[in-house]
Amino acid sequence: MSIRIENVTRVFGDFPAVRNLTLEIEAGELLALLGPSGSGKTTLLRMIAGLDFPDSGRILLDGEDATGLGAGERRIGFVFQHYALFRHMTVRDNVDFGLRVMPRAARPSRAERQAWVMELLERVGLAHLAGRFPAQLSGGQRQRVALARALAIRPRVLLLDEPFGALDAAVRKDLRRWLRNLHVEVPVTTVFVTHDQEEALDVANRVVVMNAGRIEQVGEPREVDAAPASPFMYRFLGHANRLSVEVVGDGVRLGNRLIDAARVDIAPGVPEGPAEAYVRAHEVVLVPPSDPRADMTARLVHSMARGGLLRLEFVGADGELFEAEIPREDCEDLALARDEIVGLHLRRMHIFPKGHG
Amino acid sequence: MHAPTEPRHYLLIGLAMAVSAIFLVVPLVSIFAVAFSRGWEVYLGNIIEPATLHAIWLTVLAALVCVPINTVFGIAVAWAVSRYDFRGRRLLISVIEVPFSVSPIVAGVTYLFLYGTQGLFGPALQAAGIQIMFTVWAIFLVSLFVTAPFVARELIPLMQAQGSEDEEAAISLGASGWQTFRLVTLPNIRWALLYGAVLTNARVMGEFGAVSVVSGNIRGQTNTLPLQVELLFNDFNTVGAFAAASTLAFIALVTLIVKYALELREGT
Ligand SMILES: Nc1ncnc2c1ncn2[C@@H]1O[C@H](COP(=O)(O)OP(=O)(O)O)[C@@H](O)[C@H]1O
Ligand SMILES: [Mg+2]
Repeated sequence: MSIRIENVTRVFGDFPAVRNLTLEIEAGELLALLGPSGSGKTTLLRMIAGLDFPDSGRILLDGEDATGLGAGERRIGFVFQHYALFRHMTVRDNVDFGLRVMPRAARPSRAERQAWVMELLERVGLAHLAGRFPAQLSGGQRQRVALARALAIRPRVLLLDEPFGALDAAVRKDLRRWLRNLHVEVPVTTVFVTHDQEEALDVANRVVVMNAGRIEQVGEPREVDAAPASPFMYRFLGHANRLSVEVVGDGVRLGNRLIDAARVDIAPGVPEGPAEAYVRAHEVVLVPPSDPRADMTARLVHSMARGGLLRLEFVGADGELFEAEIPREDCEDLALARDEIVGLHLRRMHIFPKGHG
Repeated sequence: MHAPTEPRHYLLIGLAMAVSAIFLVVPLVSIFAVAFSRGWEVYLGNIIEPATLHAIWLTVLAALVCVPINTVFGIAVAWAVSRYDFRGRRLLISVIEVPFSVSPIVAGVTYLFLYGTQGLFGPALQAAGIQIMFTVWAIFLVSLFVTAPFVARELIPLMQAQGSEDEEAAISLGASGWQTFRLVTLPNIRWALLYGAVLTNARVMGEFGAVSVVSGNIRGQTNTLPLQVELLFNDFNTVGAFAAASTLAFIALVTLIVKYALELREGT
């Protein structure tokens, strides 16, 4: 089912949690809502589910206005952040709940229900725990029960709020893969919330990044990662360095070096004069301090090996922290030591207006 | 917590036990001791004495009326204050506690002032031919007032702690409001609810002050058990008074046991 969110605003007291947000979600998509904590992701998800209602704007499901429709009438599966399993019911009864409460005329027979519940439990790999109570399950197992329960009503849309939030790293990874596969098997429109960019980029077909109740950027994971569209995006994706520069023509001045247009992306509408440059850690190249390519020099203060990459932290001339990420083998010939002064060559700079966002 | 080790620990524990025994257990035992002091037959005779029997019946009736009403009231209030944010919510939470903070006598007098013949609504009620004071209705009314907080007080903190996610999950799975309440909310609060109802029951049956003001103490008509006990006592019928009191003590014991069992349950 397709979802259209049209100019939706939701205000709590005088705090707008979602501000005039418009978003189209196509049928069968696996969409990630990504954003820092407090950016309005849960609020948006709850409004799609019909658990909360917009103060203004509309929500359309399959083109039909569903703004005022209650949660029970939308047939949308919702998986809560803390699972919200019914603690006094067994796993089986939890999954069966949505079937049990159907009006008699629509309700499948007891045998059909049982078969469908077992099939779902089979699919989430928990058939052997059907008789347990939620308190007797691990976090990952509870999460999968919650999913099976949401799927039992054959929802038209599946919404998951931070589905992997409370789980440890290994379980998270498993569940991620598993959610991707599930979406292939059951291609229901799925929206999941996360504040973990890696999770979003890994699982989703499309990513919506939210910031302070608005959409900051929408795109395919690769696109979002390759071309962040705003200073917020650089900060949020992390491992980006901020520098003060001056825009001169179609290049910039960094300290007393002029950097020409070939290495500079200037966002539309940035005037000449002081501006902010963002340089991502992997866009930094280490060179000898006297090398003509060195755009600046800095002192190494910390290094950390991670897989094939080396994360390096420097302190620049004005005491600002600078981050670089370089392939490990490039480093072996450099033989870096702590407190060593190195030259940094910036392969690419992304320029935004000063003080923006 | 750890086991006592030093002599002063044992001394403290011994003291606590001795004081409990003297002030709590001895009186309780003595009620039954005096009640049965002239043997079974006299005891039974005292119980089935028409005025006492009527008092027992009236007391049970008051409980049958008040416990369900205040249970429903308690659920409604707890639901409202734990699920909705509205103007006056905090005030409501405080107001529920009023019956706990005023003396029951004051409650009785207030009702007398409102509904008595000389009272605020008295003339209007009299004109309509309705008599409330000094009838069982007055007993029900003040009992309702005095026990209004018990259930709500048990439920509010629990329902606030549990939050509404379970209910939202049920609703989004297509359950109606009533199904959600019956299948999700009620099971989540059942022990606290039962506990609140048990406390309500004990208090309705045991209430003396408020009831004594409004009931008019009409023997065989508006006397509840606690009033009957006092009446028998004033008649110098000590054994009869203790026999009647023993039924109240028995209810108290049962309440204690149920409370204890429920607390064990909740602890698991
Ligand atoms: N029921 C509510 N009442 C008041 N404020 C709320 C409520 N729900 C959310 N908010 C506020 O709205 C903002 C967005 O919340 P939320 O949607 O939960 O963010 P996220 O899920 O992105 O962390 C937060 O600042 C939060 O405090
Ligand atoms: Mg959230």
